Amino acid sequence: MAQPSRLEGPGAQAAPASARVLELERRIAELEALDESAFGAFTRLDWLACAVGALAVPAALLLWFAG
Amino acid sequence: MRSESSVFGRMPLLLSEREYGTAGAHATNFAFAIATWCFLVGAYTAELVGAVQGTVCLLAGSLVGVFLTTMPLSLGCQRYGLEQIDFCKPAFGQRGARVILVFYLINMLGWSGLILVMFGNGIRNIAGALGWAPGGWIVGAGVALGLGLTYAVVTRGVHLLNVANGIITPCLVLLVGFMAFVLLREHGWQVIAAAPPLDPGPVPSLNYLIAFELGVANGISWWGGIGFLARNTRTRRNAVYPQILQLGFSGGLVACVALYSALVVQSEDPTEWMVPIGGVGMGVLALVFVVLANVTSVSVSIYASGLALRHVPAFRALPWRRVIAFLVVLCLPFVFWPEELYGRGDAFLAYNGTMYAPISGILFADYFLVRRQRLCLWSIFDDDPGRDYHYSRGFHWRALGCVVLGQLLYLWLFNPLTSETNPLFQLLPASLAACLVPAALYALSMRGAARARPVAAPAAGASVDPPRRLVAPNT
Repeated sequence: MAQPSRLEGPGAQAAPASARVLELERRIAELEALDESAFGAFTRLDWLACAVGALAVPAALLLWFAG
Repeated sequence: MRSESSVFGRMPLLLSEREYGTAGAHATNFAFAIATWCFLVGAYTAELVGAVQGTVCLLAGSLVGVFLTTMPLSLGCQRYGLEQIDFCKPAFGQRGARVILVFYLINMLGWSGLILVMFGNGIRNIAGALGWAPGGWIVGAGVALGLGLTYAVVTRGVHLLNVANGIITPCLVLLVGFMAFVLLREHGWQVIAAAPPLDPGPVPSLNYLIAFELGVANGISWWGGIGFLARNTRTRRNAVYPQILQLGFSGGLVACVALYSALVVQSEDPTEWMVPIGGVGMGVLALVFVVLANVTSVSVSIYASGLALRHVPAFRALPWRRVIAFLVVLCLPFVFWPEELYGRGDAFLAYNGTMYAPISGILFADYFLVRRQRLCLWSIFDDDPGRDYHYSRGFHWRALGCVVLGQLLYLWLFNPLTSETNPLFQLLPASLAACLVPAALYALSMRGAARARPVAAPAAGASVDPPRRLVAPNT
């Protein structure tokens, strides 16, 4: 895939549109073909840990020190 | 093979291109969290509450804010390799996502302007410490100088930015550690805890809740960087945990050191802390360093804003220098009215909650409740009006209407410009209400409305809706 030129800078349309569309199609096909497990697990236990650590404990501390 | 143009552009990132494992994700998030705007957040909090309540508000608020904003963005951007404006399209529509882009730019440019005023104040205070007392003009001149330096750094590309950050971030860690050490050694926790807030309102319980709002707004303000970080991670856990721990907790801790400094020195201007805390020699050295760190913070912000502007067709093929020049021009009001705009910084910080709380709530409801974590990548990049995420002329009015409703609800409960509050504010913080109510309304209104799209490739022989007008994204 074409690298962005120095003149155009990052994120610029450096390659022709047709090449970019082909590249995009290749990427989408590859990402959609992957199994969910390829992206790692995030289980209910993870949700619980995040909710307790980032919601419940902060809320409890906030109430505790409100008085 | 990792392609830099994909990393910094809009192409979905493949797993093989992603940089961050566990250590890398923590280190990068930590580097993001340790930035000079944490000094501003701590300083604004010191106006309202003392050290103990301020610590609770900053840490609790920051964690809650990061949680609300990171769960849909991190898990979605990581799964599909998307950057966050593209991730907004299923919820807000192809063109509706550009409305979110406007909020994003307001956030980034507002922060940039405030940090540049801190840069100007730093120059004034360095001059003062060296025995020269220039007039107020030097602050505006400093902002102009900072903008010039930012333009020079950003237009020379990401490599120079990475080199600058590689030097600045470890030094900022040392500086924050030095400040905490000197504060505790010279003053002790008893003195810090007893220091009165700088400019509290008449009702202590309201001051406490408003300080919590600032903490939440601080956490939610990371909205702009979360997608970029998450899409570069290889696993879901590496997308979520480092953001909560580093952006939420570590960022909150740095803001706490700033809070203590502001309370001890009794000044909300971070550039006035260094000399009283560290003495003239160390103070001026630290001040010079903070001034330099401000330039890299603003450069990161302007760089990200430039990339975001590439979503707008008119900016896609424009030379990078012109894109950055456009952003620099938008920051010019800070050259002419630095003190006036800096004085409204606390309102701006709270306004970040107004902007992003409803957006975060709707993204949460859309990604987890409506779409069950299944997006159609083809539709995100397909501009055909018949596609899923085109809605009505490119706008999903239900979602955008819920955003407006959430913002109005926030302002009804707490107006950050006037600090007026509704009695209900004591029961339900404005940012939480502005997140939960639009999310619930949106989820209810979308029951049965969203069509499930295939995520996996179709089985052999099966047909899948082919792309019709696939947008050629900037790489």
